Amino acid sequence: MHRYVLQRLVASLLVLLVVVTVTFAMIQMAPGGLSILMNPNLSPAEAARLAANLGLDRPVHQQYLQWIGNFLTGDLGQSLSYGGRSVLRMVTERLPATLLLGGVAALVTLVVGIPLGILAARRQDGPVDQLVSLFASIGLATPNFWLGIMLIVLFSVELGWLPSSGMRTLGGDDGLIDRTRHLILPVIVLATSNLAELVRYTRSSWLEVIRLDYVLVARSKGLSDRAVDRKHVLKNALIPVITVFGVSLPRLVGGSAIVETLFSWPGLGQLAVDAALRRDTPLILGITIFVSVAVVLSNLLIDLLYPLLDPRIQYS
Amino acid sequence: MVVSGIRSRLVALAAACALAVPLGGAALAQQEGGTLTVALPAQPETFNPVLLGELSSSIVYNALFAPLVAQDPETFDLDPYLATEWEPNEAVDAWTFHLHPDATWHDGTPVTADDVVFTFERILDPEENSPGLADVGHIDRVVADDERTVTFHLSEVDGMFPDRLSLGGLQPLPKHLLEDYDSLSDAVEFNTERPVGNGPFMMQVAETGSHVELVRYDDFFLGRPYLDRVIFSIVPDMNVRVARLRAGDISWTDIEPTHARSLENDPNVQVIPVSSSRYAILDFAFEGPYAHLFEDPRVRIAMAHAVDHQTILEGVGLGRGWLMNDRTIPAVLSWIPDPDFEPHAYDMERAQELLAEAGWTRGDDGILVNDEGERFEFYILVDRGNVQREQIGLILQESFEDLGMDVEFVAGERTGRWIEETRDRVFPVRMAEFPIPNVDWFRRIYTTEGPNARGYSNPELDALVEQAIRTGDREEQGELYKRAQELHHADPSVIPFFLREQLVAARADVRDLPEGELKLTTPYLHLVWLDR
Repeated sequence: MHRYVLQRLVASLLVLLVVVTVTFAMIQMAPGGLSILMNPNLSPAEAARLAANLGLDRPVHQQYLQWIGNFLTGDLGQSLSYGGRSVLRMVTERLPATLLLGGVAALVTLVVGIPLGILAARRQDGPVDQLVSLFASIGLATPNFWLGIMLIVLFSVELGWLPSSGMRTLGGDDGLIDRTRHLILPVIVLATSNLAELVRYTRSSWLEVIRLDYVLVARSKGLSDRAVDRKHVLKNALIPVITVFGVSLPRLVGGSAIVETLFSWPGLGQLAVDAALRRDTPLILGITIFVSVAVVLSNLLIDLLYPLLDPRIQYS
Repeated sequence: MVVSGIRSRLVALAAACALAVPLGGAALAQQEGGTLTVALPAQPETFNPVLLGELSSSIVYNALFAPLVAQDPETFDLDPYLATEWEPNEAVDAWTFHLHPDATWHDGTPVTADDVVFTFERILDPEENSPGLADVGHIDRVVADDERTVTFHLSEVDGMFPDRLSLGGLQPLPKHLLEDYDSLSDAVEFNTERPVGNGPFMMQVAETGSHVELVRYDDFFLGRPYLDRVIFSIVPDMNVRVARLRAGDISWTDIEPTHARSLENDPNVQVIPVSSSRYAILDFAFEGPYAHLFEDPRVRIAMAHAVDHQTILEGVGLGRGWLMNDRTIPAVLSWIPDPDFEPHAYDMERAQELLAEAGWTRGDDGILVNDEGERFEFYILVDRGNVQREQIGLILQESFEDLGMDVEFVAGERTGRWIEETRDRVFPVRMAEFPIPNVDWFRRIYTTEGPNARGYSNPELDALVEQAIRTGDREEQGELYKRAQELHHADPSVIPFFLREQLVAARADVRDLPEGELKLTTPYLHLVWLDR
């Protein structure tokens, strides 16, 4: 097991290198350049002077190698657009807000999604199943930005029940209740599509497992439905569900660009949008590193969970 | 000096208060206290006005740092601010500014001429990357004549120097806090978290990605601000800004015309139309592979005749704006007399005549050809994402095709193909925008290598502009600009469309909002109060 984890971690470093290289190349290949250099009021000479001062006039491979060299010493560099602020600091400042939003959304997804999926499966083709399926279809088909604006209009503007954006009331009470109220709308929007997906996967996985031979044998042995579900169905049905959930985990770190932008949530997703719009290469690369690490680690975590759910799966 | 809109309003308000109080009448007096929450489109990149920043940065630092001279957001004329008065020498190659005697930094240190000298020396240092260098690069040296008097010695005559100082990004910085840094960029904490300014409000907290909170500076030299606090809340999405305004979470934001109708019916919100400081233009190329097509002024004038401006204003601008009528300086600038010409009205027949006079007649396929058999074909370059300019570009494509031109519509990224073709001067025609004139305007018409991206050069016009620059007299400058517009009308480098009416919306209790674009109004936030 230890050897397996070690191998995966080494492979992950290579993955990171590839991701960073591809990202760097894509930024370079995109038309235009750093937003502050794209000011039409700058003459070509002024733009060239600025580029030289920022080190952007050097050959691309030199810029790349310097960035990699700095990265290996733990230095993610300075933002080109945010007054030379440390990229590491900017990313870590935004990370808690994203983790909070993503974490609560993931919790809601799990706590609501799995029971709803099981309920729908156990009442297959009944009114409850149809209602849950309808909800899941709508949830999957509804665009985040549209749902967000509708919720803001309804709950903030018309009813005045919930705050429209931000993490807390600016300049006012910012206690636990206030922060919880601010979480509700973005969590609903962020969780909706994941939740719908999880409900559908849980339902179909459950229906698949209950038709397998060992479940039929268990039932024929006279075990109660509850015992069969708990001992034989649940664990096996959850394996693909965990995979699906694991794939959505990186959003915890990467943040949701749309939801964070819509709700003015000061997280990494919003920062990523800003960095991309400003073509701030060090900042884009810094965020990419964090998100890539999250993807790699969550995949590893999910792989390590499989043996716990199904003893037949072993890593040697 | 022209009395500005804001100053005249203040005088009127003071007079009204003086009358109202003894009579015990209407409560016209400003009230103190409260928080104004202003929507910001993005996280400010810096709070240091001298460094490179974007719109959100300037909105915030304009409330933190006092400019020597401010631009009135309503009339675009100059207002005294940190400098109470200024005058040129006889040769108009040196300008002396007298600083407000009560001006202090937010840490209590007096603002002195040394601060001004320090700041401009840094701006003039190319290593600092200050965008202000482009506007004041002709400063030879800056001298502190005494503690509160500073003189700018210029390498060339410049009658518009005070206008340059009003452009923003040239506010003095506190020398005592920054002189130890080799480069201003090294003062990261000052630039991004704890700036110490001398404006009406001072920094309380900057929470990245969320908001910037400023509090009142009681010793502000132009008078104690009425508001306790100003919060700049970062709300990138316009629809959310409007929703938050209606919910009462935001006090003041800019809006699009499409939002105006719903907000105008909301009793808790006031919608304020203000004049934008920019207007859309079609830019002709005078250099590059297509320049020969537009070399003859008759061709450009013919194309101007093919434009139905009223339809564009109604259809694209939703009727909200003012036609430019071929003026390159909007009528809002009252110090410039009306130019004496008839606009090139929408007249397709006249357009065809002019093209024929210029040697362009329709070929067998209906496309214009000249004597050498060359077809009149080109493309309109538009910066993708700007809906108004995209729509105008599509209308123009159709209008020019009606004239017999073969026209393609090309939408390029503003930071990509659009800027690259602009810099290389290879576009045929492009959609762009012009600023309200001050120094910027002349830079766009005058033969320069910078913002005059189209390579336009008219020696007669250059001579008028140079004359305007040589005088410090506003009236004379106005007359010269009038004549320059007349000259430009006969040899147009652009087709101007309409000055967009910009919409600002605020909660109903917000009073004495300067009626202008957000960026220009934040230096006047000390005049704003809440009617509670």
